[in-house]
Amino acid sequence: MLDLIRQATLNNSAFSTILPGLQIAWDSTSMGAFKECPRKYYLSIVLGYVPRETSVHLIFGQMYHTALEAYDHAKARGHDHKSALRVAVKVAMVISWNKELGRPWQSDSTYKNRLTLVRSVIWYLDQFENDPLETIILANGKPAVELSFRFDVGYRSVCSGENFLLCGHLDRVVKFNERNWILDRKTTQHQIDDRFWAQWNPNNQMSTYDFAGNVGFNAKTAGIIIDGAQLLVGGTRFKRGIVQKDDDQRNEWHMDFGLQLQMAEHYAKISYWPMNDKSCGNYGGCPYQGICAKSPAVRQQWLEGSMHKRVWDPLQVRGDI
Amino acid sequence: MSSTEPTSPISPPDLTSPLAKVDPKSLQVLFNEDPEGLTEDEVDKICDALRADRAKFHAEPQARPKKVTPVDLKKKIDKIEAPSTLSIDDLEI
Repeated sequence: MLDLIRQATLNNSAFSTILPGLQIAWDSTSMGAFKECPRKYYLSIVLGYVPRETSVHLIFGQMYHTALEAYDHAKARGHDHKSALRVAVKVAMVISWNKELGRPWQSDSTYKNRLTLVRSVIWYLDQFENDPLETIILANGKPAVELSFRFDVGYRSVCSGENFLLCGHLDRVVKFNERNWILDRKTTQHQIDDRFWAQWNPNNQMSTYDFAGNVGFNAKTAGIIIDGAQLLVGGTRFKRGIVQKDDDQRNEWHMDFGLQLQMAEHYAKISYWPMNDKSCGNYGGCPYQGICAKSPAVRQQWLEGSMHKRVWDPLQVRGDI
Repeated sequence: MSSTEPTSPISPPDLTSPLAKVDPKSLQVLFNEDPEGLTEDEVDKICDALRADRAKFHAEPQARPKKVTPVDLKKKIDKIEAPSTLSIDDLEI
C-alpha cells in the first residue's frame, strides 16, 4: 500500500516527500473529492486513477472556457469584438477537431457537441459585446485571465512540518462598479433558475475562489460573478448572477478547511482513506462505485484494467500567476 | 504513325449543373474539414450562419411548469392515502 502511494505521488509536486500520501498543495478539485468521499479522493487524486472515457460535460466545459479565454486575451491585446470573436471561434473549431483521427470531436450529446460549442461561444460573446465588466490588467501588463494562484493557507502539517498551500485557477478577474470581482463561467443543460443559483452558495469551488480573491491577491475581490449558459438543442441562454460572502463566512470556511486538512493528514498517517458510502449515488453515480463494490483483494486489478492513470498536480500553472 | 493527340478521361465541369450553384463551403463542409486552414472569411461565415437564429430563439418564451392552484393541490393531497403504519424502510437510522 505504502509503495503504491509513494510510486503514485513520486512525480507529483503537490504531495509531501516526508509523509507519503499527504497532499500539501490543495485546490478545489482535490478538496472537493476529499469532502465527497475520502476513498474517491484516494483513488482519483492520490493514486490518480480516472475513467478511460472523459465526461462530455468536462470536455465541453474545458473547450468553452478555452475559447472564451482566447477572446479575453485578444481583447486585452487590442482586438475589436469582431476580430477577437474570430480568434475565439477558430480556437473552438481547432480544439474540437481530433487531429489524430482527422475528424471532428464526436459527442453523443445533443446539447453538448461541436456545433453547440461554437454556437454558444458566438452567442455569449455577442450578448456581452458591450460588457460593463472590464478585465483587470496585472502589474506585468497581462490580462487577469485564467489566472493561477497559490498561497500559504495558514496551516502547517504536524507530521511533516510543511505549510499547506491553496492553489487554483480563476477564469477572469474583472472590475465592475469600482470593485474587483472574479468571473466564472458555467454551462448546464438545466434551467438557470433559483435552484441553479442556490448551488453556488455554499459551494466548495466558489468558497475557495472567494477566499483566494480576498486573501491570495492584493486586490480584494467583492465576490464572484457567474455567467451561466443553459444549453438547449436549438440555442443557448445566458444569465448572470452574483455570489457574495462576508468576512465571518470566510473565517468559517477557513476553519473548516483547516479541519479537513487535519483529517487528510490523519488518513495519510494511517495510509487509509475510508469510504463515504452515502455519496456513491451523487452526481449521477460515482465512477469508482464499481471498484468499491469489489472485494479489497481484487480492487487494484480492476483499477488497472478499467481506468487509466494521470497526475493531478494543482501546482501546475495554467495561465499567469 | 499513331496520333499523339492527348485525350483527357476527365470531362470539364458542367457549370450549368444545379450542383455547381451549391456553396462548396457550406456550414456542414466547414465543420467537417481541418479547421487549421480556415480563412477569416470562412470563420465569419460560420459566425453569421450560427447567429442567424439567435434573435428568433431568444424571442421564444421559455417553457414554464404548469401553475398548481390550491384547489389542484387539495385534490392531489386527497388522492394520497396515508400509510397506516411505518415500515422498517421508512426509518432512516
